[in-house]
Amino acid sequence: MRETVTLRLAPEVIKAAKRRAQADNRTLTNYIETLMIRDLQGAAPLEVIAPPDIREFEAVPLPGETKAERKRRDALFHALLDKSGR
Amino acid sequence: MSPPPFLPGQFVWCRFPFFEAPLSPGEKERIVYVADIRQHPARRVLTVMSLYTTTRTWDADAARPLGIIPVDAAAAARMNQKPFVIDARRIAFVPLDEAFFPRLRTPDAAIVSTAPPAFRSQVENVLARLAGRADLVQQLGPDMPGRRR
Repeated sequence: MRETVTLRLAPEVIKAAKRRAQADNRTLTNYIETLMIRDLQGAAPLEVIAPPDIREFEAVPLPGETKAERKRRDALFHALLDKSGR
Repeated sequence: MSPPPFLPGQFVWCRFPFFEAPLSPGEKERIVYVADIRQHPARRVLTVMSLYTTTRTWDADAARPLGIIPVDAAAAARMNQKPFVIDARRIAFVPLDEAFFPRLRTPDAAIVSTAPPAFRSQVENVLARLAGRADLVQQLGPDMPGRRR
């Protein structure tokens, strides 16, 4: 038997969540439940906190680093930003 | 510009920000793992790619999602720490300044320890897997071609 709960959320959060749910073809309830299940299962998405212009930042040369290693570091940086949707 | 006070592969004290307030330093200092240091070419400012760590131990029976790197007591002690967990799924690019790194001007520049090369490779591999880039995963171990034994 499913339980009914009452949530008190900020209007702008509800508005954004409804938009996201609609884009996913879900109900708001299903969207919230999916997020909760994902979090409870430990499969949290990649969370990247970064300034808006983060992609403009260049790798600082490191002591003893080869060109190939620096290229690899750059590739990883951009791949993580791609994955996080930034 | 002078070289950065610490390098990728080091653990440092940082006020890791909350997701809701990315531009403000977090309330408390915690130890983070430095995964990269980058510079804005025009503004000449540095940003530190920091991975979240916690001393809350990971339940051995619980499923371990990709991105969670538990460090046991022995390995942690070698890195001058108590047992901890790196959550490589939580990444913050934070400005290299005293607001985020309050111990920056101390003699050790907030550095807690330096991870051994194998540990650093392990973290990089986890990040590569999180990014879905298998091509960036490094093969480790003494039996790899070209690797000295």
